[in-house]
Amino acid sequence: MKSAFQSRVYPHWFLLPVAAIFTIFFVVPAAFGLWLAFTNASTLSTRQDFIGFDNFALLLVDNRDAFFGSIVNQIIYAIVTTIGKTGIGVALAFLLNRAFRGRNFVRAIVYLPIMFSTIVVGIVFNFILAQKGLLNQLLDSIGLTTLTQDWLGSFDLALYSVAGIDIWMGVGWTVVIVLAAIQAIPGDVIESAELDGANGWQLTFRIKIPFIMHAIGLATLLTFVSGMKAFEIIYATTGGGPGHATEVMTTFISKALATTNLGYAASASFVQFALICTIAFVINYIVKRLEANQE
Amino acid sequence: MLHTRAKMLVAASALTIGALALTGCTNGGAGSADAKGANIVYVVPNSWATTGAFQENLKAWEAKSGNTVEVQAVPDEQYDSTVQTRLTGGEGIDIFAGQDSISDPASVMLEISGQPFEKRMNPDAYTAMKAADGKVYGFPSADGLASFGVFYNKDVFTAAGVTVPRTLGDLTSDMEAIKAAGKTPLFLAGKDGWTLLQHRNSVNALMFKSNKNVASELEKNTLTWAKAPGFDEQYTALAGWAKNGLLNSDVLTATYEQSQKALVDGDAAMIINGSWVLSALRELKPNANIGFFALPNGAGDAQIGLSRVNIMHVAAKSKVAAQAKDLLNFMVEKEQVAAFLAKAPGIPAFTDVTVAKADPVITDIQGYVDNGQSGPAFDTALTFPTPEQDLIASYQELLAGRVSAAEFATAVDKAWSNAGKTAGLDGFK
Repeated sequence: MKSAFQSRVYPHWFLLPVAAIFTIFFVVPAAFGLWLAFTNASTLSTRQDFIGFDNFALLLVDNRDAFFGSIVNQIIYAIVTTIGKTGIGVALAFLLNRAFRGRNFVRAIVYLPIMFSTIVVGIVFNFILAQKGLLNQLLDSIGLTTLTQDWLGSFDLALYSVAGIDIWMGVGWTVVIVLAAIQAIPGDVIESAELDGANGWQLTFRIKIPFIMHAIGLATLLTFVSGMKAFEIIYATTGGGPGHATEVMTTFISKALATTNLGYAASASFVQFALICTIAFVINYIVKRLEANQE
Repeated sequence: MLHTRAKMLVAASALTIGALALTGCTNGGAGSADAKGANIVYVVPNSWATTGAFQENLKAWEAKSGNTVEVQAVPDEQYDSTVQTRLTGGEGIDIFAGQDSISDPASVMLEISGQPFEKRMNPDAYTAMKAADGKVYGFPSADGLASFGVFYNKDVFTAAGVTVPRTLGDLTSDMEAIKAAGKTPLFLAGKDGWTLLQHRNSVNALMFKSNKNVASELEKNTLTWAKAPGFDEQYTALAGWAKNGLLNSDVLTATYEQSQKALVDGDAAMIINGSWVLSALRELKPNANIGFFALPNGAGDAQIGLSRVNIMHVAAKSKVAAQAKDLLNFMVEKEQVAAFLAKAPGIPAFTDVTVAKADPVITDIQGYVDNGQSGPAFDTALTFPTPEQDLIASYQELLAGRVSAAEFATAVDKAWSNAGKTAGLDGFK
């Protein structure tokens, strides 16, 4: 006869393997990274002496212009990609929920970009968006020369161009999540609304969207976090340039590693982690409140 | 019964995870030796893997020794960090390049002495291989000594009616004439930012002519870049070229490969790069009529910088160190160096190697060396962690016309100061 304590503890045994994996491969490296941030660890020597907050002072005081600039760029990038992926993703999900010929083919086409390697996509779009690249050539050929831009070389446009590439790549993921939620809406709810005289817009905005708000909230949160950690597509297309126009926290950290001061790079990484956690909690709170209001 | 089975399942899972975790802690070099011969892991930057006769020379050694070489090419921009990681982990590497500025080299690489190459090398080239403690921790590679300057298309120059400029002013005039002739005067590959730094290497080489201690003074922060000899003049000229349309219109998105093609096809008159570009130019168009001249200053002085030879290190933890040393000795024997330079022209670092039919561009570069117009390449004359990415960003801002030459100098000084402070160097704290 099991005791009440044993009954309570028993299910937690099954968490042990995943807890062990998480601890070994995530918690321990993160803790070691945090330790490095408080040391003078360098790539030029084996030293690792505790130096307190010196690295954070170097980051947040001496290099504040560059670092804060990268934070602003990262936040802008995350907002643009979140709005793009979520907005376009929800619209596409509603479209792909309708029955039409070739729907499955279109669904596959929408999801396909997410399966490409980010680096390969970056290299390909370098050719497409170059000043004399395919896009500008196409615009020229159809008489839209005024629309041609230096998409990746313009200090004003480069960040948004890269965000556009990221949106193209990642919108399929949002579509999948939202489409699954749409298809889970009980049919009788839709039917009742239609019987009550709801038109298409009312059905969408008053019935369906509130029902799938949890999925939209999840997609928004994860997309924003992904935007706050974006690195590969920026590295593959602009590398943080031109100038510092597309310099984000992640590229800043990768460049910090080249300074030989590992502690400095680790401190930047920790600040990024803290910032992402804070923003994620805020977004999660807002989404939960929205869901509660809908109910 | 079910409870016992569950406990056994959890215990088995925990053991499996522990075993997996411990496999990640395996130590030791990647090389191995067995009855079939040693396998040597040779890690190189991507751009080196197919340069010259590198692969052919490796194959020749494999055939001669019965050992095998596993070449692992890493993207250039990730090379240093990848090698550092693998050296720290103590695994996966027998021969590597870089890490020349490390403060305790003996911890990751073997000291090399008493090797045949030592007496065959140009004395200055051999001296440049020594670490801060005066010891040598590697073998030279077969590459020629690189230099930096202006590679020009002679046919485009002739068509535009211009000749090799003597002064910076002459260079600007030549560029205007070339533009009037309908060609791009100077093609810069801003997308591949490292190519912009070859202009910097060319400019810096001239600084040594005015002040032999310029590198040391900058490294100790007793001199700023804004006040370095010739700095303002050169970057004012560069800003002027950008403003007056003397560069390619897609300067911020053009690539290194596009610059090579533009030069050999005669669409552009000049590029500024290192002499390693020559092998790529010859591959694109073997009989392209290319020449070289050093970037001049306003007074008509010219000096080229000669890079230190690439140093290949044997990992301290390598299990096939003897075979690795034999390989590296073989790669710099006279025949192998001559074969390498025949495909990747350069100034030989070995006194007993002469290239039968030197490339005309190499002849142009050798002319500067023979006339005493050469010195060390700037970045190899110091151990400062050059903030390359910040410098590239500043170059791009200058070329886009967003900053003036004076603002560029301020940005360079700021980046230099930050780099020194971040690395904890004396003079910058």
